[in-house]
Amino acid sequence: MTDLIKSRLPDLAACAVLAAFGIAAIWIGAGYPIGTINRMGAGFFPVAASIGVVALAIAAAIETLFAEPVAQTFKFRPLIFISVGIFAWTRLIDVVGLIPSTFALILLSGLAKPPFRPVSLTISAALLCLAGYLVFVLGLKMPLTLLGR
Amino acid sequence: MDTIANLGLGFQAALSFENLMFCLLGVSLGTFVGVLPGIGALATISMCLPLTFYLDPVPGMIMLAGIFYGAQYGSSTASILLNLPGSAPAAITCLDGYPMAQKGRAGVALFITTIASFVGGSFSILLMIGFAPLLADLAIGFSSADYFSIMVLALVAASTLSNGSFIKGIAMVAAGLVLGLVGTDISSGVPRYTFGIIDISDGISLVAVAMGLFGVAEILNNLMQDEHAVVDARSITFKSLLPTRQDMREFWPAAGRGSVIGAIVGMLPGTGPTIATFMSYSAEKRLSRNPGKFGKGAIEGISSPEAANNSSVQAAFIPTLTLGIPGDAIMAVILGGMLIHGIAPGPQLIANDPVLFWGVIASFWIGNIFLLILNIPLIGVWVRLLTVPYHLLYPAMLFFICIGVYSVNNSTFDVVLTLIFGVVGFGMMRFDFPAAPLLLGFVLGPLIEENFRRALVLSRGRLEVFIDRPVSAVFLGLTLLVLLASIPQVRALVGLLVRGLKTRAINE
Repeated sequence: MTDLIKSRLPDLAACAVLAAFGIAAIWIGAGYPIGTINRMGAGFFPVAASIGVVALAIAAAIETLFAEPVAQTFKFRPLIFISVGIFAWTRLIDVVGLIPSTFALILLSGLAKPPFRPVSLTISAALLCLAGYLVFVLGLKMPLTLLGR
Repeated sequence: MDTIANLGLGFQAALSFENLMFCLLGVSLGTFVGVLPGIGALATISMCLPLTFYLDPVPGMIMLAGIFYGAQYGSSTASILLNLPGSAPAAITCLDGYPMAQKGRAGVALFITTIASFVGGSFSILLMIGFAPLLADLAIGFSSADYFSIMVLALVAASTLSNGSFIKGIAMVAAGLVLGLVGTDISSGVPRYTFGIIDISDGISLVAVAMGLFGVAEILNNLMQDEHAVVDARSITFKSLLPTRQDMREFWPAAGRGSVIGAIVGMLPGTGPTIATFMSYSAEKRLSRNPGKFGKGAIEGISSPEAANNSSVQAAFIPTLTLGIPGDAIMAVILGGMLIHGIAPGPQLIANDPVLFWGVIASFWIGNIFLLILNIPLIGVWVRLLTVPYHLLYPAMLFFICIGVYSVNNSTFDVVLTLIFGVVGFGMMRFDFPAAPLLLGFVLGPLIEENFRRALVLSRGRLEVFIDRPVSAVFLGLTLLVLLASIPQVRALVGLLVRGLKTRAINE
């Protein structure tokens, strides 16, 4: 019995996350006016859909117990460097402009897949800055600066 | 006749220099991402969606649609040369396309799939010209209850007909509905699930959700996998493309059947091109006098699914444009784009905005002709594209995702949201929770709520309104059938019954 659950722990955890999302949505949705069936308030549909989410998450968890668990390979490296790269871009773009933020994004996310290739990534970042400038700044007149704010 | 005049209007619009350029841009971009495994049409369309906000609706729609059907042309290339589908619907093309390449007939396979795509696409364009106005006329009489039931069928079919667990599929639809409701309630003005954040007071950005689930998540997933196979860039010569007369004899009937299957599947709500290709392949195999040759490089095995693929993609525009109900996740994004442009697709679209409707249809044909040129004489260019290494590709994709999402509202909040949806979407992929139903639910959430509410206001709270109306009742009945058919025990029972009846018929 413990083995049945142990080998499927990640899958069950995923279902639990989904159920938690549904429960939170019910909790918050219950605070909106529910109304009646012929005059529905803002809370009716969200609560109904969220109850569906919770019920289906439980059903999916039960289903998991009857399915074969699948071994998954997982690496932290891509997750960390992709997240850090995108997050860095969002923090930098409004402060230092397109060129530095793009170099940060490309070089940081480039670390996600070893081996790290600084030269080709630098060239690629430069070309992308140019493309971004031509399409988004010149073409679409987006209020972006290349350097500085 | 009216249709001719309307088509004239459409071609007039589509043939303007600006629209021609955006059509060419769309189909080229579509072929580009179709060829490359790991970027799908959906991610690309969401990436380009912000760009169209700077355009008029007509060229914007022409470009987005071009990406969609252009990607279907391109996606068979990697299937044939690498045994790796460029996008999900082309997976089936690997089965017979790759064996053909191994036998040295890659050129013929590429040629045949392109022609099949053209045949399938043209078939559904013709169907659309004839059928869409009729459907729109019919749909003017649809009530809120009818719309609600059609959307329910779309959501249920989308989650059950895909591969994998249908419980997880429907769970994702429900989660998508909830996410779609974030923002200010249209009828009462109550802000829902906004946590006081101004950036989501108008709802979560569709572009952020789509780019996260289909762009960032896909990149993360690819980076977790080990190395892909590398294409050896043997040049495909023009002469190697030419099929034999025998090939063409096998090609035409298969492409015809594929077109019909694709058109039917494409028009149904909730079914996408992937289902069309699987259905047409199994139909070919069952009809063939020589089923043994499938999987070893059968011409029918690539012609029929490719025709079905493109036919379904073009036919998918029929319900989206005439009813305002998207059949699959990609059409949902295109619909979302139209809504942001202030165009409400529905039965009135053809009458209110004929230039848009007929112009887009006319552009389909022009686009398909562009694609013939792009995919036959220029096929060598695309083949060489497969040699671009992934370690340069994915950072570039991330850049376009970031700047694309940012450009919608000049908001870094949306980019952070994209990252969050990317990580969540990656987790979903890991645990086999499909993302497409979630996106469909997300787009349909507000529409389905609105129609549900309105139907019950009009009926004064009588729930029977959903079965009193024939259209609504039929669609709810179909939904029930789809649900029953997805339960394995029910399927087994039906199979037993059919076999029993057959043996009885033989015995008599």
